[in-house]
Amino acid sequence: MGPGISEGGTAGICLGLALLRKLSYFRRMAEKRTTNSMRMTALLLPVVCCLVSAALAMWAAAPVQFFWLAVLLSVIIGMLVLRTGQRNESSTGLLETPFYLSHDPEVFERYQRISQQLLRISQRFNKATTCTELGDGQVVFVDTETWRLAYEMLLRAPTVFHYRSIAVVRHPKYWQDAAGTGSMQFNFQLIDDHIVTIERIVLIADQLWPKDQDLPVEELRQWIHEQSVHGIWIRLARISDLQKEPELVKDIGIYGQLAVGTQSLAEDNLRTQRFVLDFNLTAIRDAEQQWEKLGVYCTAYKDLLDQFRL
Amino acid sequence: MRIYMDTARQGQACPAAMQVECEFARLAFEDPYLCSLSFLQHGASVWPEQLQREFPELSCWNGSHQLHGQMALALGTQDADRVFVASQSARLVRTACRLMFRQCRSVLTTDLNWPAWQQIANEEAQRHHGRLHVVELKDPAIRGKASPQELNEVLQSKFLHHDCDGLFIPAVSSLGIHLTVAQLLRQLRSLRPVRFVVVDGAQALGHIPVNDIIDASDVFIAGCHKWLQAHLPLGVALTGNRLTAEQFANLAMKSEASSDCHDPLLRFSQELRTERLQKYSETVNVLPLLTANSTLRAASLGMNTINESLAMRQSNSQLVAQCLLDSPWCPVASTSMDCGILLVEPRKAERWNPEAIATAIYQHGISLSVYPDRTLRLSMPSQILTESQLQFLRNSFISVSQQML
Repeated sequence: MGPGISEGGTAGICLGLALLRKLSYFRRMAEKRTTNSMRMTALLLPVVCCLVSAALAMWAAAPVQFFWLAVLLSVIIGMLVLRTGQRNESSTGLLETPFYLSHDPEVFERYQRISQQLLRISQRFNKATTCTELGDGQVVFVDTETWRLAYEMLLRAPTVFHYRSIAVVRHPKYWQDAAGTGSMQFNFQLIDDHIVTIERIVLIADQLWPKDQDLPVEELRQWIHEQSVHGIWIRLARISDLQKEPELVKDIGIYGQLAVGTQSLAEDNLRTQRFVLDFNLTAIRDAEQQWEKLGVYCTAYKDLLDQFRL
Repeated sequence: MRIYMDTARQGQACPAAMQVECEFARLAFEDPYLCSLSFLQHGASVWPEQLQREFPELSCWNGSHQLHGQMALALGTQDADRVFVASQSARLVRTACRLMFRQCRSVLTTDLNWPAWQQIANEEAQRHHGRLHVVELKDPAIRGKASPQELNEVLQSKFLHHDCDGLFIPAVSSLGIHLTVAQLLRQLRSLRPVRFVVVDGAQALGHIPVNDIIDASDVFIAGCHKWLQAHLPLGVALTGNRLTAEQFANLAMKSEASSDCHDPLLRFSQELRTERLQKYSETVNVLPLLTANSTLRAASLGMNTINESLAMRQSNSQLVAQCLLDSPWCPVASTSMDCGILLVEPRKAERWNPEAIATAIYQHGISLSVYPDRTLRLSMPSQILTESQLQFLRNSFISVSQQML
């Protein structure tokens, strides 16, 4: 009898867990579809269980009754556990959030401000993707040079002391149009005001720095030289030297430990096609790794000048 | 008899410098207009011949550009564009440190650095959010008798340990500890990139050969009033390359009058040299330019080279150390102190007042520096000390110790 009961109990628990999984599955499915039918099922299920229990109590043998009770108990415990897990995952519901936060006036005030800004964003852009990118810690600028405003704000941020930039140059007039020149002057001003120190790695296409030439073409070299004179530490590498590591050829800026900006240029290699500002720590760490790896391929501009005097 | 042994603080004016100062004072009395912009820019050739004869030493002035060229030659280069002169060495140190911390994240210094320069380096490190590491070398060099090579090994290991990319060290410390800078930099550069090196050459210029140090460093800073013996302080900076010269000029010339990098004489001398004079610039004292010019000219015509003078100073150092061996004074001997500076300590001097020692020694005919820890610094002359001078030194030191007791 003992072993029989034990086997029946174990089987009941297993069956209960299986049912629980099924219920969990139903729950996930229900989230995707309408929840009305599930609510009906949830109402019917206890009624059916009560009726079956009454019938078994009247006519079934003790082991069967015991098995049935074990199944019911497992389901109830499982549902409780599931409910706790749900609470941990999503904390409070969307509508409950403001009520929950109102206990802490300071946090609630911030919540209100964030909500207002999100409303402004949704009114301006009216794109779900923009909000999602913002939520992911990214701001994307497409076909515009207005990203430079955010760039300037970042470089003036009180926690940014060090700016590292990787410039992928395929055109001799890279960053020498009005917007680019403005940004360079801004860089110089930051250095003069002791706000940040700047390091730049310039990755140069072969046509702008042929293998048989000591230094890049004069127009580009002048651009590099001017930055060096202003105190930017410049290192150079040919893009062709990075053939085996093409993932390193990315035009990025690392703003202290605050953000990473990635610039993609249009076909003319001058205008910005897309600029992504990423505030994620992982993105910053990845960019720093890229920076470290590139260091292996680079030569300091100052050393090149020493080696090949003009 | 008097023996001057305080060159490491203030060199004894050379005859040419003294002559220029006298003539300039006379000129200022007779006709100050003679010291015109044209004279400063192009030299005494703008004067009539009779005036040139009246002021023979001032007539050696060939213009600001010539001074820069002469200074460059004295420092072992022909590129006058790499030379900067200023009324205050501190301004040059400030400019150099600012350039360094714009490009370096982590800079290594030593406790041998002149405290005021070290303070400037600290301030610039803070301003640029850079790191400054101080290596203690004074004690190992003096008490531990560490050799220059051993000091270099310490610096090298600390440089790597702290992941440094910049260096600010003296070529010769104020206590006469000599660092073999060029050798150190060669070793460091073979191990990792070194972005910027500033060398304090205040105790090196006119004392030890500096050509190889200048070739290896980015900025070498010195003054004319110590071992060069030009009497009037004139800061000199020589950059290691053209790029650093451009950086230096950009920073020094762009800085506003309120800036701590601004030096009126530096700006004026650059304007004179490049012939881009500002109409409403500040009036500056140009006499240090004239004394430095005559001193350099006299040195270039002199019989002794730096190497020969150094050899005599080293011999003198050994002679003085020997003559004090069985006296109440103890010479500090170390292989890293092989230049023309000798340190001497009293053997039993727990209660001796440093100021009283300085006064007593001066009264006994010797000029030297006395430190608060009762260490005496003797700067050796470049002429070999005679037997009678050595005897005079020994007698004076013994008399002073008896007086102090």
